[in-house]
Amino acid sequence: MSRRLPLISALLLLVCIGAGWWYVNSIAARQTPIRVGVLHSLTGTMAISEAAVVDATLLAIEEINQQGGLLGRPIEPVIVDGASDAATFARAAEQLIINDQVAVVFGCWTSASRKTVKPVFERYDHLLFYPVQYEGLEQSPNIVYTGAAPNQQIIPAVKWSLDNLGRRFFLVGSDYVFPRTANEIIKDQLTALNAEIVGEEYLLLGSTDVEAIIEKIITSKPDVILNTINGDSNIAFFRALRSAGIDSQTTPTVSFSIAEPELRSIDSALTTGDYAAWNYFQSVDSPENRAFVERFRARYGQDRTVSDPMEAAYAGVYLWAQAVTDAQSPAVSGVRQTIKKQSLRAPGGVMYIDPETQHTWKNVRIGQIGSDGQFVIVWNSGKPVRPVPFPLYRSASTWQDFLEQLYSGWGNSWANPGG
Amino acid sequence: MNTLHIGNRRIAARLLGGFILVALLPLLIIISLTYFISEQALREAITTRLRQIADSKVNAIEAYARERKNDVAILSANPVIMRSIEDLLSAVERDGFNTPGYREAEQKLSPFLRDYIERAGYDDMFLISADGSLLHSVNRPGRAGLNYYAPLQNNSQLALTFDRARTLIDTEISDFAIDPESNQPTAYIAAPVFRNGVNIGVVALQVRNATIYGSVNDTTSLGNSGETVVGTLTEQAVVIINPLRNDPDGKFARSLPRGTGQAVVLQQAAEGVRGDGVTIDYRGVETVGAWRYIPSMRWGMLVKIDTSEAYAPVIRYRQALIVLGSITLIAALAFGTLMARSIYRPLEVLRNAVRRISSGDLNQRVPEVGNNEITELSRSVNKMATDLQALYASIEAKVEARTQELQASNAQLAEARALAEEANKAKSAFLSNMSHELRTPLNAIIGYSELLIEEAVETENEAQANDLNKIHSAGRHLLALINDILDLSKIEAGKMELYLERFRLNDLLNDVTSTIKPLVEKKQNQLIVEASADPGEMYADLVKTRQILFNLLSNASKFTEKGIVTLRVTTGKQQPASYNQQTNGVQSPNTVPFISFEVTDTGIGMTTEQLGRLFQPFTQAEASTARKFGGTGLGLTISRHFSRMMGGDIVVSSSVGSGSVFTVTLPLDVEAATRPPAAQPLPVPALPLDSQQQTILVIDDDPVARDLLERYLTGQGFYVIAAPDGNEGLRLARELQPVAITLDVTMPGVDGWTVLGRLKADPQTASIPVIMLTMVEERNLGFALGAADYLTKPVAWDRLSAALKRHRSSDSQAVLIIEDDTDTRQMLIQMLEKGGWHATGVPSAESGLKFLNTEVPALILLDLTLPGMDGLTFAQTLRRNDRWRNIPVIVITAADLSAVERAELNSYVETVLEKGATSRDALLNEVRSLVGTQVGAP
Repeated sequence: MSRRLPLISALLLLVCIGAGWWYVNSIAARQTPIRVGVLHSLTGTMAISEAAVVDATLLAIEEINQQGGLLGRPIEPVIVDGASDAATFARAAEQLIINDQVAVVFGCWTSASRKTVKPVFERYDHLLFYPVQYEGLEQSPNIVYTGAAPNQQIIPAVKWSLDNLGRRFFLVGSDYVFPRTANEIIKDQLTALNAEIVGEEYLLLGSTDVEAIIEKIITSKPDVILNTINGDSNIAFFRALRSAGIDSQTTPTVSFSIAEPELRSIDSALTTGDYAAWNYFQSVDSPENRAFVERFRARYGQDRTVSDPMEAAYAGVYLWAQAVTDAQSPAVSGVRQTIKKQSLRAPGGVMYIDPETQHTWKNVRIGQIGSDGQFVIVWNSGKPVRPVPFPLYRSASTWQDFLEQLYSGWGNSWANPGG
Repeated sequence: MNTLHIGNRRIAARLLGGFILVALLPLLIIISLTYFISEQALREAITTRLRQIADSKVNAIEAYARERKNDVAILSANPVIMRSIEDLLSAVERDGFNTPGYREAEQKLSPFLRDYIERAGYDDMFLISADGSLLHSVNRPGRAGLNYYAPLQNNSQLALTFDRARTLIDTEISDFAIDPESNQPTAYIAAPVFRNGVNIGVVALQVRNATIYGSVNDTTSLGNSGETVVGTLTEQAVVIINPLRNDPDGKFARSLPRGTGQAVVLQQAAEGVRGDGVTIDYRGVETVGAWRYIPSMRWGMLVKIDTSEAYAPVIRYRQALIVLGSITLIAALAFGTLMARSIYRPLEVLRNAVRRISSGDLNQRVPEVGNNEITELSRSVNKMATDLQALYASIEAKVEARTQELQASNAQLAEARALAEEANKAKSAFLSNMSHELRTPLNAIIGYSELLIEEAVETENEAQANDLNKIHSAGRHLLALINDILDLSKIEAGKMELYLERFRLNDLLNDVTSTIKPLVEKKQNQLIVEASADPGEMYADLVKTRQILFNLLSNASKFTEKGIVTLRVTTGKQQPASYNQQTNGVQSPNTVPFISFEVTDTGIGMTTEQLGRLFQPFTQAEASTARKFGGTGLGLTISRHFSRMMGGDIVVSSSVGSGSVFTVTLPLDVEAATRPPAAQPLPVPALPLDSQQQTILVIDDDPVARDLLERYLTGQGFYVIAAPDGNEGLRLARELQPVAITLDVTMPGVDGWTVLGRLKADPQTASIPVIMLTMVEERNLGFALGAADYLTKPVAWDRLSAALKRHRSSDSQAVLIIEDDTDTRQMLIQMLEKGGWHATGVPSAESGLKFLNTEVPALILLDLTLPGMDGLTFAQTLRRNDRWRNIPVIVITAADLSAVERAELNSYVETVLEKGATSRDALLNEVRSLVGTQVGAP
């Protein structure tokens, strides 16, 4: 018996070592982080908006990690600066996919950056979560659009304006793909509803040269100004507007690219009483939203505000996480299948990823700007609106032609290069 | 037995335990693991199936909604519809509703529209103008003209759907709601109609719910209990909108408050939260299900199945496993027990057999069944038992032989021991015989030479007297030598006995100095005694102490010429260093008072080497010394032995040419506890004296002694009858009734003591005085018979003088000397006169008695061997007389009485006591009387 003891001990030891090796391996496999790319402009003109989106994205990642990670593994964000430059975005996207081997990329704000990275994601058959409302007319199997399609922001806003503000519309926007397309859709809608378009003017991106436009507005006397100006130009626009004596009472402006963070950089007196159309406002009154705002502020500071793209980015991470859980793997191929039909009780209400378009069903809201920089919600779609990236009254090919004309017209660019 | 049993059980338990550990435990673990993994997988499979069903149902509903939207979208782009609207609009504009023109336009399009809705399966179709007027309803033509922007209508499902479709320029699907007319859940799908980009109206279709419900309520692969629950949210509740399997009337009627039971799940689903798990359904039954969001309808959908059914395979699997596991366990335990038993049963048999063998049953054998290790063990045990049996048999024989050898050896040993004891006895006998045998002839030589000297003196033959004196002197020297050798022999044989008594140191010193004086003066030395005026008393063996001092002083005198010999006496409480090293001395406390006798001479001295041999027997300082100085060479050895016996010692320091210092230290009080005091030598008052009886009986085996005594006694006028042995002596004593009997102690056959005992035991002879004459000292018995002191013959004058001094009375100086020998008597008288005594000498006991009638002396010196009445008889007479009883008597014996060992004495006394009570009482009375007298004595 005693002579056999060493043999038994050795066997036991072997079993223990084996079990230990297996366990350590499985732990190691479990502990391997899931890397995700976060691709936004941290520098340049878009940094002011996109940095906040990064914060929201990271908050969701942190929350998931705190709850034990995804499939038992932590999520490791790889944050890359797109530098407000489309070409940089494309390079960074490729790098994230090739070098960092990320499972997914959360990123982009401007349509220009999205349209530049889109071929990259399609080439590598990868996956991008795009959190910003946009002009539509796009549908890529490699992009999940968690921001609003035109029918989820522009069309309801125009309808609401028509119902509540008047029938004479002045359209003003930055001269790039989103305002151009948006206004094209608006024009169609207004035409269909027999409304009057008294003017349509564009401003180069980042330009403050608004005087000519203000002149035209004064002359045309619209009931409503539909504003698709992006970035800093808004400050100049509103200042000039108010300077010209056009107030929000008589000629309200409905903006499509001004959210809570942007309001902070504009003197509140300039915008109070005007309107904006979004899927989400910080002031949405629901338990989910209150908790979300609280968590965000606890993490980043009580003075911080949240906005529609931030909420969309935040929800996007959760939707992706649900898809990974369903697929039991972070691999893109699986997630691209399971991401379809994912639904989520997001801060702004139910979100559902439309399996056909990979856009999200979202509520639509119109808010009036209060003096505190927050929005008073004056209209709510009351239910998630099905995303329709290609407005019904034109065929998809017609829309594609329109876009191609823009692109080629700008010398193969998604924005008017000016000059 | 018990422990062994437990031991076996332990083996069985260990076997069983090992079996369970090795086989059963892993099996159980594997089964459990398999079960849990399988159960997990099964549950996962069930959940997955439910998820798939739920997803497919969502897909079906969504597809349905999409198809309807497509239907209406296509319809809205249909030129017929556009033209119909235009026609109707123009008709209404032209004529108004319900006008013939309007009806005409209506009838023109009606067949096409009716045909369409019937084919496509819609309930109704509405054509509504952009301003909200109902232009046409296929199945409700009467409603035409109704305006959906009008206050009464603008909240209806159709009105809302119409507006959204128109203004949002998109297809729109309404919620399913109870239609007030049909009281059925109804939904509307609407799409805007354009002409040249401008909206001219909306086409709307009324949708039947049946299709959706058909899909929702399809329970395929949902088993017997599975069903789908679809709910929509209201402000406070979740309203179930589909017929339920278990409650067909439930649709739209069953409303679950938010936050309760399955409402939670349905609410979550309706809010976009998808999931799966176990829930309690509206019946209160536990179900497992998956819940999904249906975006088109904004419904929450729950596909569920009762867990009892869904998990039935799991439960069956579990039950099967439990049953199987139990059977396996029981079987394994049974098998293990059987196996363990099959191993420990033979072991038990083996153990019992071995136990019987070990308890001595060597005939026990173990059955050797089978062919395994235990069989081998059994075989070995059997062999061992056989071997043991053989071994025991041989051992018994060997033991037998050894025992016999041992017995033989024991017998030899006993024999040897007996021999040794005999030899020892022989040695003792030899020692006492030596005393007797050597001294008897010497006694004869000395005695006869004295007689002859007396004759020669009487005949004035001087030459012969000188020769005889030489013989006499040589005889005495020989006697001294023999005595020394005998003393030494006794000491070495451990037979030397102390005779302890109390005496005054002054008496001792006087005695010694007076005795040694001639020796000192012979070599022209001077003796100086340094002692305090009265050093007090000492309790010790007087004779031995005296002998020690005499030895030392005579040595000092021998080796000193014309010098000074000093005797220094000091007392103190300091014990000498040598005291504790005593080998045969008496152990005393440290503070025992000691007396020290220091003998210093101015003689030749000794070398260190000589000092080393000094106390060895037969050794003198140098070989020539003996020739030059004489002496036996035993004196110092004996002295040291004596002093050690008394608890003291002798030390010496010396150097050549400067003399020697011998120091004797002795306890002042030699311990009486270890040496009980012998009967004290005290004066015998009187001895009976019968002058009419002249017959003396001499009992002695030695014819020479008999002859000597006869001649002595006859010469004294006694009639002497001699008996050669004890028995003859006893017979003659009874027959003749002699006045006295002299009795030799050492006789063949009945010895002297026995004879004495018998004499004293017989009333006829008890009163006859017996004088013990022997070379063996029997002083104590002699004292017991009434002697105050004993002296040996020939009388040593120095000792007599010492005895006289010892017994000197303070109020009287009169001493009576009873001594038949005239010279001796004269000598005694002269000596006593010199010592200041008033001495009177008488030649016989009879004359002594006469003297006593006239005067009572302070002391009587009594010769035991007297003509006529002997000394003992005289002493007895004294004792019987009241007046004379207290007179101390000093007996002068004819022989030097050596000390009798106490044990011997006791045994003799006992013999006496046993044989005659009367005599014992008499003896004891004597002793008491003697002791009492001594108290009054000086």
